[in-house]
Amino acid sequence: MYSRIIDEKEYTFGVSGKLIMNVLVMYDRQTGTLWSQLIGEAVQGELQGTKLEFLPSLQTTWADWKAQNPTTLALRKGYYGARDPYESYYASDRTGVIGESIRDDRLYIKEFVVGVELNGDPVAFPFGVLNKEPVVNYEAGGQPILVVFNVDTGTGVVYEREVDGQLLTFSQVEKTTIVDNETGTNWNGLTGEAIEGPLVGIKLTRIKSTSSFWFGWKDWYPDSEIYGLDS
Amino acid sequence: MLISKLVKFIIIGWVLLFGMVACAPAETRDLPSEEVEPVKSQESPESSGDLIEDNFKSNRNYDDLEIVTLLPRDGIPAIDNPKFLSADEADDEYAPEELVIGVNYDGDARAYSIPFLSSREIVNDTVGGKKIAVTW
Repeated sequence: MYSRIIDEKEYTFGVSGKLIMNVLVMYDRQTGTLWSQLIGEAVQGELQGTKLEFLPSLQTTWADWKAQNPTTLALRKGYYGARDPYESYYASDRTGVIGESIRDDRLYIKEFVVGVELNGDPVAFPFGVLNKEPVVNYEAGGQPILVVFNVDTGTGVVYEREVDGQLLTFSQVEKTTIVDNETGTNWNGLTGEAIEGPLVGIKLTRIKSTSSFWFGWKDWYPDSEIYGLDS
Repeated sequence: MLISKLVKFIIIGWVLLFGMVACAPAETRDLPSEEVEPVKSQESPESSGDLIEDNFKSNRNYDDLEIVTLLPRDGIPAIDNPKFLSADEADDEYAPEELVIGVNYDGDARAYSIPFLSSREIVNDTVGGKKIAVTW
């Protein structure tokens, strides 16, 4: 999810029909610049090198989203059903049309990862690892981070672990409810809100992250560390 | 996350090549709607988290990137004027276990079906006053 505002100007985006490193790129209709959705950067054209502002969003199931947000609206699909036309693709060994750009067998190519890049230091958290360890205290690019994973819905969220100058470490209470060891505050791991304890009223700061197939992530970040494998 | 769409590209490429305009939208059948166990109501988020960020310039080197053109521009049309359903209306179009991308900015909450985004890639929308691009 990205903001369409760049330097106070509004942009709209369309599908360019082009692929870079196996990833579809979009273009903006105002300058024709090509943008990678995966990394949120302009890769070719007038705005090359500009980053889009990342906005927080959650990937979850409709039932879960509606329960959390009873007044939500939902995009009208019309005739489309609930089936993803690429369901069989997810399970096949094929990757992109041009094949993998960079071969890397550390993970199964179709494994999903939560990808984070901070200060030039990319880290991938495989869903397989997060299934066993849904709350991860880690450090990327010298910055302490927290990864929370909802095993039921495949939702991965990343936060800063420093709150008002205090470094917190978290553990799981139940499902996506987490507790920090320093103050004993309970937090909603999906919204980042403190729900009980001394830090109520505070909200954790989200860090930009991407859920992606491993092969897409490593094409962009071939040097990526893989949490649980390299560490 | 758009990598999955490459296959679609091929499919759509063929469609375009043969001029078989997709005027017969294959009605994809709904998933068998198994009862999903009711989700425990959680604290309703006002937004999905505060955020730090940027429009800063990246120092990545783009010169070596190979660009492959598979389709004409807008061969897959982005959605510019999205239409929305209320949560209850949406129960007719969304299966309980259907994956969505959800946003909640200033109490304006919206869900975008991921299977549907797989076919359209981009939604240009305004939510809670924020101009956003929903991408998949």
